[in-house]
Amino acid sequence: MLKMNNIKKVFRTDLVETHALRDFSLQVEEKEFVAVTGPSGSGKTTFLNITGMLETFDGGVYELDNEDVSKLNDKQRSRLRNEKIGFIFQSFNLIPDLNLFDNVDVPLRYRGFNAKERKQRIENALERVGLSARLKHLPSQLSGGQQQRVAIARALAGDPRFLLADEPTGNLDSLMARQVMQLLEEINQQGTTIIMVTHDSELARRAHRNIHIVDGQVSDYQDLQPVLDVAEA
Amino acid sequence: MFQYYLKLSWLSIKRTPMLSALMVIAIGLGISVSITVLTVDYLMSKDPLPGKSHKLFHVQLDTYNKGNTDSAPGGLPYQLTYQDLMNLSRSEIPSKQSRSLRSGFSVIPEKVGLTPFSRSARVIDNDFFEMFKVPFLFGSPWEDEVNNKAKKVVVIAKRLNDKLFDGENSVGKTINLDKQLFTIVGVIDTWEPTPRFYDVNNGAFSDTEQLFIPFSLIPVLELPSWGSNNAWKSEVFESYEDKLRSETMWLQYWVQLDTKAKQEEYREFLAGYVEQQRPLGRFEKEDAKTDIKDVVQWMENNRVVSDDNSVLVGLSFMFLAVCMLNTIALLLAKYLKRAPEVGVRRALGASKLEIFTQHIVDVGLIGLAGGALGLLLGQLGLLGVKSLYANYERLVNMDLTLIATAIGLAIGASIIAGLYPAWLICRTNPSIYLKTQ
Amino acid sequence: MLEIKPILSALLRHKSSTLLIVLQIALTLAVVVNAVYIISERLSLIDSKSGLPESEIFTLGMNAFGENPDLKYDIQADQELIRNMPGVVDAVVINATPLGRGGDNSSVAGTKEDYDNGNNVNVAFYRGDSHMLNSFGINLISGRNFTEEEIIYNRGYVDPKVAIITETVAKRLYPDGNALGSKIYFNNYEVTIIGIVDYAVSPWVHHPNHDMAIFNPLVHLDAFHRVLVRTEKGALKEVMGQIEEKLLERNPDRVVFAARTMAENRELSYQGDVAMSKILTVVIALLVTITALGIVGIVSFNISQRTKQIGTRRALGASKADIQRYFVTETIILTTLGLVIGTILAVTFNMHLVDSYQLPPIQWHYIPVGMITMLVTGILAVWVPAKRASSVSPAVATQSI
Repeated sequence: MLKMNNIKKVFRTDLVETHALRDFSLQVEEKEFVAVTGPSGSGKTTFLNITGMLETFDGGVYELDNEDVSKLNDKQRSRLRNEKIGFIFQSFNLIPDLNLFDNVDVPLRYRGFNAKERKQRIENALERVGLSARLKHLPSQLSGGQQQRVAIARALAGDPRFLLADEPTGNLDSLMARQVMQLLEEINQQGTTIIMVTHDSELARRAHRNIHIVDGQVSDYQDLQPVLDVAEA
Repeated sequence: MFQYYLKLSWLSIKRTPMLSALMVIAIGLGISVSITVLTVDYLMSKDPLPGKSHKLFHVQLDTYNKGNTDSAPGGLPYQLTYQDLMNLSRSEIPSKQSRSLRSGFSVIPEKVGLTPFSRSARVIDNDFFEMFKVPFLFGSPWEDEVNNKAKKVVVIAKRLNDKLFDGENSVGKTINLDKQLFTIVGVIDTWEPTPRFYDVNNGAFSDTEQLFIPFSLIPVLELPSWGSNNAWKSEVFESYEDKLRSETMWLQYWVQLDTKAKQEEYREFLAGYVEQQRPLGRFEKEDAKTDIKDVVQWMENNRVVSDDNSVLVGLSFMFLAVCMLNTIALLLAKYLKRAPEVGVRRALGASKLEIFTQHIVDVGLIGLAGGALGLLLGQLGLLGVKSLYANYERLVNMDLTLIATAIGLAIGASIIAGLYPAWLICRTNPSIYLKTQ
Repeated sequence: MLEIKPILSALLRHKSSTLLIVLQIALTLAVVVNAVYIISERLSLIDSKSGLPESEIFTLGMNAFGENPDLKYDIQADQELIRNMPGVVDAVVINATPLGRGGDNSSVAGTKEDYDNGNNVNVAFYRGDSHMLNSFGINLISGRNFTEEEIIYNRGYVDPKVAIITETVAKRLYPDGNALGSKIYFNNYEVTIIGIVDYAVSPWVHHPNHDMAIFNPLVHLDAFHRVLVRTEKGALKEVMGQIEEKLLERNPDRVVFAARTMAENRELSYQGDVAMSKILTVVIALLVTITALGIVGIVSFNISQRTKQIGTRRALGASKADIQRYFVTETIILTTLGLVIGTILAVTFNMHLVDSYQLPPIQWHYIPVGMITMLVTGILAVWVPAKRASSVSPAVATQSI
């Protein structure tokens, strides 16, 4: 469970102060699929970065699985991120000189798994996204859609509870975008909570819930589908 | 994790071959210059007799009259007069002692095909060999009694033995020196201390003598000095005896004093000796000083390490500093280029410490390569130095300590150079690199 | 029109790389200026004249053995033999030779009071017979040479009555010019100056009074002695090749060794200075190369970071030359800054050298020369990357990420 209460985030330069998030509150339940929409500069990405603990915030409380994130040091936050959160980016962000195997290996290395376990997990993750035959390929040898699938495999390899996606289909043509979206839905059905920032309202409609951010605040909730397991729990 | 970092480092070197090569060259050049200069400096100043050098002392007396002071550092002359040497050597305080003079002979070989040649000789007491740990190949030093009762015996060096006797055991045979027959009692193995610490004021980098003759032969054979002679008093020498009685300083004296107590006792003995000599009209200065200096102090006092060398050591470290500044700049460039990857790694759960460590390992690997290159270039540098100085052949060879120093210096300096770039990269905000590529 | 303001603000935004390059240039200047200065000092030392016609002179050592050799007879016979050899101008048996690195020296003064008060000067002594001056190839300015009667042959040392001195000694002891006929004191000796020669140097090139010498008419009857031979032009090699054989033919009971031309003596005397100059030259070359490579590396990096900016400038109408000028100006600013700091470092470093190693303080003109050299190096180093920067296509500006 993810809970934000009155989160504030201010960017300062010498001349201007930008309030990226102001009194931002949100709760995301287990196994939800949340789409976050909003205009450029509304604070979507800042929200996602704070959620993933890549950025600090200036006020409010953020609890991840009942743990107050602001009280953790860098090492603990990194550990938490490594164990519980997977990231997917618009531009895939695969490391260009690592082959697929080694790319998926990255989060597992920081987890400290032994070689056998890592190999097992990498193979499973790549199989899940349908790319198990290309372990030794470099990212540049793949199409955009394939690269994003590798990125998803990398995000999933450590069995995170949350998957944070920032415009995951933004750089893909519509056919590939559909495939990736399908993959995300499957993953969600298998139990991973997904928070996805997107421009695409059609994609957003396929999520359980839509959050619209304007000027750093949640302006609108829209429950599209009930979350099955939560309803039962 | 260390292996993983090494692997990443290797990948990054492969990705930026130019930048990496520039860094390795910068570090390599810095190390090679430093290690070349340090090698010469270290070998010149290192303790030639570890564990023993602090027990061996060179004796100094200020025998000058009031108007004169020696130009040597500290104002004390390097050498002693014959009369002082004879008087001091009666002391029982030193456990071992050796008077010493650099002289020389014409060697007249019996072997067919050899013409007479001259060789310098070290004129000493028999304790000399044990005090300075001179290794014997055949035979041994002469008997104790020869120190006082002159006898024409000689210890020769291996090189001379090879030349005259084809390397066979020549103990018991005779050798013709200045038309006098000397009996060989010993042959020493190769012994070429560099610097020649037992006589640094007559050429610290000269060759070791090949003939060793009893000091007691000096008045008998009227041996000439092949080293320096310092005279301040106007004395007319009609004969060799005049020189022996004079104030000319031309001899050296080493004593072994095993304990602090013995050393104190000997200092007092020297002070007492000065007082005892005053009634004879000697030691005019009211504060006539005496001193004993151990081997290392003696080398320092005689400036075995030249000023040029010290200047070069300073310069070489400034050179290394420039190379390291260069490396820091290149590292900054390389790491900023890699910032997006670091952003991804952070997002995937790497802590700042892990990123920092990864980059320090990276720098360390480059440093290691730079150190290896530095050692290779350093060997070239030493070859160059050898070709510039006539007497440096034996001096400029790297030993294990120096090789370890070079590698340690390279890795250490690189890691210090890498601290700032690695710190900078580990604390940059990852999120700004994730949005775009 | 130089765009100094935007360049400065860009530099301030990249503080660490700016600082690094400035420091690097500063240190390089400090080292180069001082090293060049040391080299030039050494080179002028190596070139210093000896006053001898060096190409006509060689020296050798001789060690006599045999039971009670008649050394006086031997020395006179040897001198006569060598002097009569074809190709030989003159020769002398002598205690020491110029640039020979071994010999005798003593402190002397013009009066006994000066001597006793320590107001004295340390000078090298040459001892031999009346052929010393002719063998050295030096000339009397005033006074006369030694007569045969004045020559003392002695084993050991006997106080001589007369001396010939170099003009340098005369000027030092008798600044008023009345040295001839005056006395030289050292300790209890008193010697009359009978002649003054134009120039001679000591055996030790690093002696503080290397350009001073005193000649005494004294021949040491030692088993070991040195010989200095002056030959006719071009005859040196031939005489040197025969001399050992001739000497041993006359009397085989000695060893002739260390026959060296003056050129060889000079090389041995200045070995350390030559070595120091060469080592420093290598260090300077490497250092300037490293710094130039550093500038290339940093500017290249800056350019790769600013590709889009450069493209934008090009799109907005900047010419290729404008872009090149931007980066060259940037480097000139950085280098100048480094040179200002470097000058302070160079002077500080030099003061340390003067304090610790008794080097003379640096002459000011080395600094501007060093600065110009570094500036030229900087501009040359920036040329290639700046050229590349100017070839960035304006289209880069419009490419999206």
